[in-house]
Amino acid sequence: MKKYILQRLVISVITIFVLATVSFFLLRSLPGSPFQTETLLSVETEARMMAYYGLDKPLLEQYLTYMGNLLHGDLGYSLKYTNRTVNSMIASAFPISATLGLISLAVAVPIGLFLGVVSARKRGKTVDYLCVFISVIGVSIPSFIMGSFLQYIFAVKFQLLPIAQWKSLKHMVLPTVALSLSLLASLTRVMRASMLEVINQDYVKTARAKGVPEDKVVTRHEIRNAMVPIVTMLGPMVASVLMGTFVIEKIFAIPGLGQHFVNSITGLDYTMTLGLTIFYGSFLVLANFIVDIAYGIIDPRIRIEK
Amino acid sequence: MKKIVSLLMMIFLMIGLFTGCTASSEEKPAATSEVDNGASSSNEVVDDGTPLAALQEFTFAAANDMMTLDVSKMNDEMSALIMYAANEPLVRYYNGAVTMGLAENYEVLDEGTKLVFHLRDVKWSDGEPVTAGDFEYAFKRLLNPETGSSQCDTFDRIAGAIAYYSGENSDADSVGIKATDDHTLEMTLTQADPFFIEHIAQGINFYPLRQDYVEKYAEGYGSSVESFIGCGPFVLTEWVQGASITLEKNANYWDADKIKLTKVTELIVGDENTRVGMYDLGDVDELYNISKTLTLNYPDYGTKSGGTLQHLVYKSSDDALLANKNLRLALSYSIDRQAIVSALSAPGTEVADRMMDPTNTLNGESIAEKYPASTGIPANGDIEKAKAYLSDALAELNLGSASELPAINYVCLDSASHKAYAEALQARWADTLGVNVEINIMPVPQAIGALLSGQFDIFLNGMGTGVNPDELLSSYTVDGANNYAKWNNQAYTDLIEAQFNETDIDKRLATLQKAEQLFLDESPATPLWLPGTAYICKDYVQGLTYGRQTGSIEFIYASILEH
Repeated sequence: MKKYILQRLVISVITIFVLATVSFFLLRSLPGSPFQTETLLSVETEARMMAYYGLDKPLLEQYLTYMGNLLHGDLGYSLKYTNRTVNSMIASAFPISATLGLISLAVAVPIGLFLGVVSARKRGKTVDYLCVFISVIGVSIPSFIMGSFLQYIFAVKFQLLPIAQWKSLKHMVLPTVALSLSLLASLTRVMRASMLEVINQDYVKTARAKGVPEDKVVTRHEIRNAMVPIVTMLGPMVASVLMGTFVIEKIFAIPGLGQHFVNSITGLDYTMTLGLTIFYGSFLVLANFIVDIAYGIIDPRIRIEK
Repeated sequence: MKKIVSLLMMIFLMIGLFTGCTASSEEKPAATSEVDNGASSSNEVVDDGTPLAALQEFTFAAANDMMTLDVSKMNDEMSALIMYAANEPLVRYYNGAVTMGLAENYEVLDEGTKLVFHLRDVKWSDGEPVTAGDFEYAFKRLLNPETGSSQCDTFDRIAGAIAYYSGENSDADSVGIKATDDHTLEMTLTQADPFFIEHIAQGINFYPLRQDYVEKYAEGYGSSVESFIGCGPFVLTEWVQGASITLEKNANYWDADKIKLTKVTELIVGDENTRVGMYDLGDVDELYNISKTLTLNYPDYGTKSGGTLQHLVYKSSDDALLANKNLRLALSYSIDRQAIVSALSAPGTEVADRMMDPTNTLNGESIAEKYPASTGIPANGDIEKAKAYLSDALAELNLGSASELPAINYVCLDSASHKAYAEALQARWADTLGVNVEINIMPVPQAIGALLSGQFDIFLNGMGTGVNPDELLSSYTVDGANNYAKWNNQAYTDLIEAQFNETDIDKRLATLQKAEQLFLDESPATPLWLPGTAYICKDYVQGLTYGRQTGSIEFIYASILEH
């Protein structure tokens, strides 16, 4: 196990290194200058700005400097948010996105799994149709519609909850509902499909035949086996949800990371885009690593040797 | 157990990668700013008899956060908006006119080449006195090449500034900015410029700066509430990045009696529907820059325009497709500006027929009105003339019909309004002239890159018209670095240089008028319109005005009526 973790750690570091390298060169091959906006800068001024940020040096030299700083965890200064480091911007925005993400997952995962199990067990009954209906609605309604709809009903029409902003527990309700609904829906769908597959397996029939009580059959044999695809799915899902969602954060005016992913790339903020890519990438690698460990716990057949 | 331990170690290692081993010095200084919280002005009555509300608090919503409060590097409108309230410049631009700020008065000496500002006794929000040295430090820091400011060009008229910021002369004392004592600031200009005072009043970088703060926070100066200090009518008390900015009345402000509001809050809300919802619910009092469709729901909206001119740039260099003057004129004359403005533009947009902004003034008089262009292009275009120009152009190019022309490359910014304009223009040119224009949509940095490197035939450019009437026109000189059209006309260049060096203002503007006429006759770029901005505001907000810069809401003298 120790050896396995060590191996994985080395692979993770290599993955992040490759990610940083590829993103660096891809990003820098985009045409345009980060300092030119619609209010045009004179050519001389632009050149001075490029020199100030060291962007006039040979690309390879810039790359080496960047990677050297990255080793210290220094992601550099944002080119757009003057005088702010990428580290400080991630440090202030990430906890907000992560909070929203965690609450939404805490709501979505148990409900999603429960609905998936119930609908698989009651296949073809009204409950099943109801669950499928919820999951189709959740998957197919885009979050900007769901968000606006919730705002209209609960904030404008009945004025029960604040329309936007990120201040108190009350402010968190609507964005959480909007975000968890789509998560819940896809979890329900996968869990249902996975359960249906497991229910017809021979070992489930055998368990029943040898007189294992029904609740044990469901929990120990069915759910446990059906969890494998869910765990696979949860890794990337957790990573992407904690990194923030552009649409929900924009609609509800939440100062999370989501906006930076979009704005930094359209504005050619090199350091910010790279920093976010590496941060997200590392998080994804970590999430997948935890998933691999979790497989072993759920299913002894895929437990790592020794 | 071992597994858990190693897992935890792994997590800590990953976290370590981001929090990093570089120590950050984010000590919080004791907040010494004095803030006036009392609603003292509750019994005052305004002109029409409605008493002021007990609570003088104003809230508005904007789409974007400000980028920085480092006055030397600041270059965006959202930062300028807050700086206007949280700091005090030498002279202010308020409600379309120059008013005295930190300077009590100023003298113009040496035939207009020297300005001497006499400062008031003003205190920073922590009680320290503001000195002329704070201005000298601020302006020289901005010009210092090591500061990394994009705003150096706004100091062009100051003697020695260009040599200093371009690195030709590293001696800061050679720059014509000097504090002769704590209350006197001298500025030496390269030549007399009647627009200079207005220029520094409308500029966004002419504020004082505290050296001790800049040295203490170094690169982080102005990136948070703690690392910024001002001396304006309001004190910045909270900045939740990406969410909200709170200002409270500065009890130490020199003109504090005129400031009625005790608290101003800017909420940053990216989504327009959410902003409108907040306005309807009463969470915010004012919305700026609302879309055309929304003005239908709020018939009492207001508008403003001026400060920016959108125009089409034609690449006119000798090797370009549009090198032919008659072809350019055919395109310019066929455009129905009025129809496009009514159908597509934001409310308040005004058709422009020349490169001077009618809101540019000298001594309160519109320069454009005083010096009219003799033949501007009519607002509805002139199809007959356009067709005549086209047939001349085709004859000169030895082509039988417009369809034989190669496709014209229109580089378009990736924004909803620019795309709509591009399509409308493309259809118009195809219908009236049979000219085939190809639209290439690009993200902003790439599109600007194409403009600067000349990889375009037509580009819709929107630029600030500044204060000097020659702001846009003076770019298009032969070999000018910002001659986006790559247009080479020696007669025009001579006229522009002549007006620049002319010290008699009437002669100068008359020469500029001639240059502008030549520009319109040659059409290396054609003026389109001055984009408008619509806003809605609750009727209990009194005394709110809007500046020339886009996004500038002048709330400092506003007050809230009882409601």
